[in-house]
Amino acid sequence: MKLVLLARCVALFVVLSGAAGASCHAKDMCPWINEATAAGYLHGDVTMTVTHTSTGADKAAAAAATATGTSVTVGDATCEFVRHDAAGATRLRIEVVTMSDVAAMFPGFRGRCGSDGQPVRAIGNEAVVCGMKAMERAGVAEQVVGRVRERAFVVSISAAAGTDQATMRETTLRVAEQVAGFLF
Amino acid sequence: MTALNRRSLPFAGVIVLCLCAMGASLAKPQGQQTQPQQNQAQQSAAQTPEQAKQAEQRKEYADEVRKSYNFRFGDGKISIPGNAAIEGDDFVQAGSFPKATYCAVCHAQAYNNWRQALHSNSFRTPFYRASVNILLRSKGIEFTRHCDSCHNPVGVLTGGLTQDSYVDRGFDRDGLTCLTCHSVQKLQPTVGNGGFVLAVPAVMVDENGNRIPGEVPYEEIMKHPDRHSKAVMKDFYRSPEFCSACHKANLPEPLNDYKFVRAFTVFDEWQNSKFSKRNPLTFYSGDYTTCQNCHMKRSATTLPEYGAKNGTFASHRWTAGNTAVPFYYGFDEQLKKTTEFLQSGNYLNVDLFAFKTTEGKGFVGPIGTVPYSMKAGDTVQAMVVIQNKNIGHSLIPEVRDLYEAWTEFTVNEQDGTEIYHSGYLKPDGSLDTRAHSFTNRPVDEHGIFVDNHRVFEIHSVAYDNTIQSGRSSLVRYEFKIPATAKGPLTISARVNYRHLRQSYLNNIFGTDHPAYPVIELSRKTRTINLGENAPDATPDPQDNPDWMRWNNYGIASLDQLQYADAVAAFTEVAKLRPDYADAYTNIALTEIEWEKYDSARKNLKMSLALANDNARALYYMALVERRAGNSEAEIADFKKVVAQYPMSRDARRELGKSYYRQGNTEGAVEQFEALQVLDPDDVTAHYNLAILYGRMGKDKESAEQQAMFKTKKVDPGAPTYSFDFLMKHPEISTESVPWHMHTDLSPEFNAGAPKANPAAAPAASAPTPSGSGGANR
Repeated sequence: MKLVLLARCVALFVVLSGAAGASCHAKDMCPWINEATAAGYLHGDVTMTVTHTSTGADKAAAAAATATGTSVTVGDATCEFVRHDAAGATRLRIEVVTMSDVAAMFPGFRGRCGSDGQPVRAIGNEAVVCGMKAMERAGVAEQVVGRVRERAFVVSISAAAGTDQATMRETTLRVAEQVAGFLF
Repeated sequence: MTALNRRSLPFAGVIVLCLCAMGASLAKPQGQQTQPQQNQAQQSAAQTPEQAKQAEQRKEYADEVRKSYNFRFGDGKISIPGNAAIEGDDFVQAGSFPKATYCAVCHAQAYNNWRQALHSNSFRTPFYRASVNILLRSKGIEFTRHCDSCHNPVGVLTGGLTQDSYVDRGFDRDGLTCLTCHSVQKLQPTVGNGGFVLAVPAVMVDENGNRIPGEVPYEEIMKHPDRHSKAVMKDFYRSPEFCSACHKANLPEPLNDYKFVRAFTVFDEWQNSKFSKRNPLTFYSGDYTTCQNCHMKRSATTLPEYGAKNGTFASHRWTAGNTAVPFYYGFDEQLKKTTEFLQSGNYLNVDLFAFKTTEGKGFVGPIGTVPYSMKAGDTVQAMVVIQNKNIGHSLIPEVRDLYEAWTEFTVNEQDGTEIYHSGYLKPDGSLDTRAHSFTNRPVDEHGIFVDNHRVFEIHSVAYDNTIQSGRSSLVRYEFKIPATAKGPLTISARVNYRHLRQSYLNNIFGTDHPAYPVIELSRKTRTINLGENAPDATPDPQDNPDWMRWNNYGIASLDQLQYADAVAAFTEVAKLRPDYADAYTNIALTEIEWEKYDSARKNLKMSLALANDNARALYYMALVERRAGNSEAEIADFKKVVAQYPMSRDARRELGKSYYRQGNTEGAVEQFEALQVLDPDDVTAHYNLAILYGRMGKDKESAEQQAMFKTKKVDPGAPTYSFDFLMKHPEISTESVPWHMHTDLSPEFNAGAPKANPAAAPAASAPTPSGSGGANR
């Protein structure tokens, strides 16, 4: 009887611990840049959302990297940082996807810049940058699409119309460089 | 930090809160301090109100960082396993560092140089990130403080290198920014790993000399340029010791959970070179030359620069060997200047010194001076002497596991047909496995090559084929001239350099990256008749004089433990230059190593007769006196050497040992303490001071020295790891033997080395003249 009670206590403890653990980790961290850095780029406090998007290719890549003595971060993810001000929302989005076949898959990512993508030197293995229309309120956006080895990354910043797009491009490039740096 | 302050614990219920607290406690990083440290930054005696305010803001910031900082390596230890330090021993806001663009307004030339230089790109490059990311993912971000104490000190000192950091890392892009170096207030002992102490950055001091933190208006600086200078310049910035703070490194026990392992010692190499004027034992003498004299040469300004003097400015490009970074970033000017730098300065001398043929006179040399014959069908040994002539450090310095320099040796018939080729690049871009390279092979505890710069796994070094400053290396090649060969033959030896090794580039980028530059550092080509060869009618101005060629051959033979050859070579030097005292000293030092002390004494006497009180000869004479038991004479000689060279490590060490043997405790302690100032890592000093302090009743100091000796002493078991590696790699193991031959002719040299397919080798696998493919015939 005592054993049963003890087992129940242990079970309750484990359940509560798990719940507590989950709650204690109040916020997922973006693997590529932290909230403060994103806030620095967007010039103000941001809210962050992280969505994990593993397809299995990332885990396979991690295992292969371990075997060769290299190292990659397990777990594809998409991070979104949003800053609100009087002009509206400024949104920084970072998407990282592990490609099981670079030759077959990367053109699809690069195609997100359409034919307007301009090659950018010294960000990852390769990258292109392009201007876009923002999804909302007829705003403006800049996007960098690139890869580090077998990992594709897409970094975009969108903001309200009237935002200086040259500055936005520079910021997008800097974020992309930081993301790529972490992927090496 | 605002993000940190906003965090809340949205839990309902006491139990959950308690468990949460427990979870937080369990999750607390090892060694995290539980009580805030006293902020010493506030303790400055005479603070202005503005300084007090800044200090208070810093304290608030540091208190906040401290709450979640991973103090794995001890309470208050913010940079261990690195050594970067800042006054107050506490975190500082990233915003304390004025941006480089702020400095650029008045220092456009410096900014322009710096932006393309290694120092501004010390953190962000793929070549560094790939390596440090491995450490981060393998052991944890807190371990990266070791590397980043030099590569990203702002990251370390702001407290950004911790799990779930809330520090804005926008500064990563600027690596070592202006106010990193220009805020250094003092240097730690020359142990490296970031051995500097910064102040909170300031670009001005006030009228009382108090530092004014942060960016001040330009007009204020223009009004008081002297006060600007006082804030950002120190005399020691021009010293080699300043560079030593980061251009010397070790792998400490907290990093590798093993023991102190030496990483690289560029500063020590300079200190032991002729350029330091601190070492009496160099083979040649030279003018005092600092790191800055070579790597920050003054040149005419092309951009506005208030720091210029007479239209020239000390280059902030720090041109050296790294071609990979400018190649990756497209910094064409930096790449051009780096290439020019590497090919300038008469840094290396390549000498096709001698031949041995199966027939004829046997050894013939120096080639170009003596007549000889060679014919089709001969088997030839060629001796190439490579002299590190004017580099103030080793070839290759620093991380020899990643950088690659090697000798490429070719023999071609008149029509270009290749007879022999060593040191080619394979079709996949990797180097001929059997090439003579000036690299090393660090290995782990399983005897496996530590690839990818996983330095925290290094337990031993299987071989290290560097050439120290002023010394020479002898590379031997053996080839057979085909019976059908048409002369004359062209024989070429060159030293190539590549930043970085192909496998490391492949690990960073995958295999689909462009070929990185290969730079030819130096070359010697000779045309050889099949038949008689007369001496050169006109000596090549690039060649060393014959006495020096013999001397270098002797030095190289000595380093390969070929004592008879070395003595013979130095004897030739004495014949050619009977007035050259060092010729006799060189014979003597070889004989000392050979344990022929009587002959050594005779030669040292001849040397001292030519150059009375010559410190180098006296040093070796002291060793001979020691061997003979003449301790008074031994000490007298060493004292003369120390008087002439008070910064000689060797003289201090040996005089300390002499005093120790004599029972002169005070004298010995004085010498070993002086030695530790010159080299804080000298194990002889640690060992002897541990004993001597113990005798003097200084138990605490004795224990400290004992502990340092224990960790810094090379692990006696380390060679085992090297042997494991060499057993598995017979194609490389010959490189670990001082005397070895590069040849295609003897099967034992070919074990495990697949021959390249000449047809498969591209004509140009790297974008330089030396990037030829090719293979063995």
